[in-house]
This record gives sequence, C-alpha cells and structure tokens, in this order.
Amino acid sequence: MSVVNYQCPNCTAGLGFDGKTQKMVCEFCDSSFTVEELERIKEEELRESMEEKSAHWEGFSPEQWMEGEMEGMKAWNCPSCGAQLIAEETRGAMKCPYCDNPMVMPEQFEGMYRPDFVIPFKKSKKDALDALRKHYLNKPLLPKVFKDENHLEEVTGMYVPFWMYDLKASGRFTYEGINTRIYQDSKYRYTESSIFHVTRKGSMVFQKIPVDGSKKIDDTMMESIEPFSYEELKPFQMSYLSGYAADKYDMEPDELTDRVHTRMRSSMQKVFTDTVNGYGEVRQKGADMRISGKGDVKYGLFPVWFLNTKWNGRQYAFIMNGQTGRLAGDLPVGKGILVQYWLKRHIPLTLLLTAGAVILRLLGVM
Amino acid sequence: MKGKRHCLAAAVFFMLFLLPVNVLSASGTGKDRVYDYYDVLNEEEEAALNQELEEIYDTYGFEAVILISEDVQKEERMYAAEFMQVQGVGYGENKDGMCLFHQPGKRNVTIVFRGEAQYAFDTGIQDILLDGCTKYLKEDNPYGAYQVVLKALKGGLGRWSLGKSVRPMDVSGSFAGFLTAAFFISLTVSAVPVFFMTMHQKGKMKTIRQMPNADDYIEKESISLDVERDIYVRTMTTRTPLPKDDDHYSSGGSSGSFTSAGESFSGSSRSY
Repeated sequence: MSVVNYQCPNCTAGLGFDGKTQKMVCEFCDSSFTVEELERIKEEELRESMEEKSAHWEGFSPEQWMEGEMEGMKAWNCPSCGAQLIAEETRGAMKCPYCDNPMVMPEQFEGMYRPDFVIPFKKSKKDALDALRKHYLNKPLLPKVFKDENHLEEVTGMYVPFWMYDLKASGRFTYEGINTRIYQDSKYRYTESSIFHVTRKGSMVFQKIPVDGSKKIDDTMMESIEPFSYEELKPFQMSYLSGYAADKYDMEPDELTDRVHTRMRSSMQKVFTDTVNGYGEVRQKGADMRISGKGDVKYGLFPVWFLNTKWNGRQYAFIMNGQTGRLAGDLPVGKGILVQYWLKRHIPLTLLLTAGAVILRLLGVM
Repeated sequence: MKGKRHCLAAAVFFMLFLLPVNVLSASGTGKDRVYDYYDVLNEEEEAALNQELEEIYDTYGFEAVILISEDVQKEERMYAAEFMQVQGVGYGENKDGMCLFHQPGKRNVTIVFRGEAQYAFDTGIQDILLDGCTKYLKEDNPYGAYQVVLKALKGGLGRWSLGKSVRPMDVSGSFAGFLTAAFFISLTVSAVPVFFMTMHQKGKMKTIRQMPNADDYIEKESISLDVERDIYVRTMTTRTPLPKDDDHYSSGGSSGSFTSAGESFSGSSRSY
C-alpha cells in the first residue's frame, strides 16, 4: 500500500497543514511553506541530488517519468520489506518479489469494486505444472524439442474479474418444414413436397453467464477453460486473495453484453429448433430474440493459473482453470513433423491397398 | 420400287447364306475368318487378322471369326449366333468358337461364344474383352480393337487349354498396367483416411476456442414454449421423365446366355 509523507526542508520534522494560514507549518521550527513552495524545494533538492550523483558517475543521468508513461500503472509499497513495486492500476493483490510477502490492496475492492463472489483456488501451482506436462502428451505433431527445451518463464495464480449475467430471453423462431414423397409410374418419377409453416415462441432463463471483465485478458482464452462450477461460489472475502494475484475489473457490464447475447441466441436457437419434429427437412426462416425484463449482473473473482513459456523466440501462453483443472493453450505444429506424420501413414496404407488388389487379382476376383 | 426391294433382299440373302466360305473345314487352313462387309479394314489389316485367327485355330483348336457389317436391324447377339450356325463357325464335337461382331454405323460391338467356350469365357470375361475393345473403338481404331480382343482371347485360351478356368487377369492386359493402376487408385483412396487422421491430430494442438453457446447456464425447467404452431401451406409436385428402355435392336449393355435354334450360346453386347 502506498503512503505519502511531507517533511520540513529545514529540520526534517513533519509538516502539518494550518487551516488559518493555508500553509504547511513545521511543529518544531515554526517554519511555514505553501504547498507550491514545498514542491519547488523538493524539485530543487532532487535536481541537486542528481547533479551530485552525476559528478561521481560517468553516464549517470536517470530519466524522470514522462507524462503518460505511468498511465495504467501504480506504485505500491510492500508492508513487510518496504520495497516499492510498480504494477497495473487494476491489480488488487500480488506477491512481493523481494520477500514473497502476499500483499492485498483492499482499496482496489472497495465500493463499486467489491466483488460479490469468489471461487477459491482448488488447484495448486504443482497441479498447473503437471497439467501442462500432461498437455504435451499424445501430440505427435508437437516438436520434441519443444517439450525438452521450452522455458517456463512465469507461473502465476490469479483471480480474474468476471461479470456473471442472469438474463431472461424470449424468442420467436419461424421455420419451413418439408416432407417429401417420391413415387413413379411407367413414364415419370414424381416428387411431392408438402410444406408447413412452423412457429415456435417462448422464453428461457440463463444464470450466471460469465464474461471476464479485464481488458488485457483474452476473452476467448477465458471461455476455453469454462465452465466454472458455481456450487463452490462463495461470498467474497479478502482472505481468499492472499497468496495470489488479483485484478479488479476495468470493463463495465454494458460493454460485454454483445458476447453474452450471441451465446444466448445460439443456445435458444438450438433449443427451439429441437422442438421442430416430424419433418424430413427443416429450414429456419426467421429468428428474433429479445432480453425480457431487467437482468441481474454480479461481479466475481475466478481462479486461473497463467503459465507462460518461451521457445524458439516465441511466447506460448497456457491457462488453467484454478477450480476444475481444465487447461488450454495452443501448441506449435512442426511442419516437418506434419509431413513425416502424413507420409508414415500414407505410404504404408497405399502399399497395403495395392498388395490387396494384387492378391485379389491373383485369386481371380479382379 | 418393288423390284429394288427384291434385289436388296436377294443381296442380303446372298451375303448371309451363300457367300463362298469354307464351312466346317477340318483343317481350317486358308479359311477366311474376317468378314468385313463395312470396309473398315484394308487388305493388310485383314490379312494380319486372318493370320492371327488361323494361328489360334491351329494352336488351340478354337475357331474365332470377326464379322463387321452395317446395322442388321436385329438383336446383335442372336444375329452373331445365327451367323456362327450358318457359317459353321466352331470346331470339334462341342463346336467351340467365338464371333466378334462389330456394327460401326450403330457403334455397337458384340461377342458371342459357342460350345464349351461359353462356360469358360463367361459374361464377366466377356465384359473385360469388350472393355479392352471399346477403348480402341472410341478412338476410331477398329483394327487395334480387334487385336486387343484376339490377344486377350489367346491369354484365356492358353489357360483353358490346360484345363484351368479363365481368370480376369488372363484376359485383361499386362500385369504391369494393372499394378500401376492399382497403385495410383490406392494412393488416392488412402489419402482420405490419412487426411482425416492428420486433421484430427492438428485439431488437438489448438485448444483455445470460443464457447459456441451458453447451454451450461440455462436454468433447469426454465424453458417455456408458449407458441407451438405448425400450419400446412401447400404441396408441390414435380415430375421427371424416366429414362427410356433400350431399343429392341440396340443393346447398350445386354449380356448372358441365350439359345438359337435349340443351341445355347453366351454373349455380351455393348454400345460405345
């Protein structure tokens, strides 16, 4: 957690703000300064300090943060060792890399940012590494050198912010149902098509459709490790975060509804189409789905293990559901291996079929 | 007009029944075995074919003839059988023989066997003989077509003369040609399962996928179907004419056993 201190330039005692004079006043030496004066003094001291250091060191010219460079970042002080750490401004929990002290920044989860739920981690870091090794198995197209040489750069257990949508949808779907009969007489073949206009209308309720609320985390990756089991959904408590990283959301629920609606539409379409029976062919003609009533949205933190590896100059990212252990991540396909795999099967099969044809010919079948 | 018709009938009668041929000659030497009434072959080709047929007769005791004529307005196999009977084509007690009957104008070729040869050279073998033959006929090379049939016939007769059954491979051309065809067909066919196997393995490498729907989040018992309406609109009927049966005089692909004047034959006929 970050703390700001104001010190007297004359005696280094603490300064307090005096409401009457509107100045910062030293309790010990009665010096008084305006805030602007204090800032100027501070800058001057810093400049002198830099000059002194430059006098001793060749090439010592530390840069100052330019405007905008710190955008999206925030500085935190470790309460255990005092180290200053820079992290994304959405970070709500992390581990100090110096003393391994778990840090939780409660103000990140205050007010509107307080999660409603959390799914605690069930899978450990070891489980994540084991899952990754298992992910490499039975993949004949994976270059062997990848398994042997890929360098695990980072394994991070993080609580990812999710929005969970409870929505009711109503839909109206129209179809054309066709039954076909074929018969013939001595001269013609007749095709008789009976056409029906089919309508289905109804509603269905969806509960807790999850969408991750973080801009920097890929939504497709998060969907790859679904579903999370909501039976283990717990009311939020800060203590669950200790030992893991955590992010707060930086995308509002309204920004993510498109994806939710797309998934709902797909489900609704399938459910209603399955009710159209008794036809040889069904063609959808129209589909209209609307969200009925006000939906409900909750904010939760879900456990995810992030594993980043590097091989051949490229980064490979894998993620694992910290509750169920489901792992996802794209693996490289060796082009030479692909060709070898193909040839190792195509050539023997061709020879086998040719030999079969020759045997049949010798037997007089062909 | 009547007079012309009589002349034509007499000419046909003469051609079919009174042409000077050495019928049922015991030695068979010098007998014309190529009856080219359509002038498809030149003298050299006709002589070469005659020679080959003579060799077959001398080697295997089997009499084969080639008949080339215009459209006879009759079922081809029956006509070929009658020709063999009238011309006495066939050797020995069983009258083993073959007639290759080609009607260039009608683009039809027929092969008929007589005697015990009809069982040795069954319809399957006949089809193979015609396959080889029609390939050349389509290229307007009747001489090549006849040669292919005679070569295949010799292959079959060689085996039959040893008391063994005639196999497709005995009449269907070179083994090298078969092997090459078999290899390329196998190469193409085996590519299909290998393709699917490879795609399956490639698919296993990509596990980052969007969820297609929200089925996991549908609340149980919440699906409510308020309107379920199926209304009959209309019936549409279309008709397509059936392909016509083969003409009585044409045989796009007839084959099998039949009888002529109480004698059984086996033959296959094909249009090309």
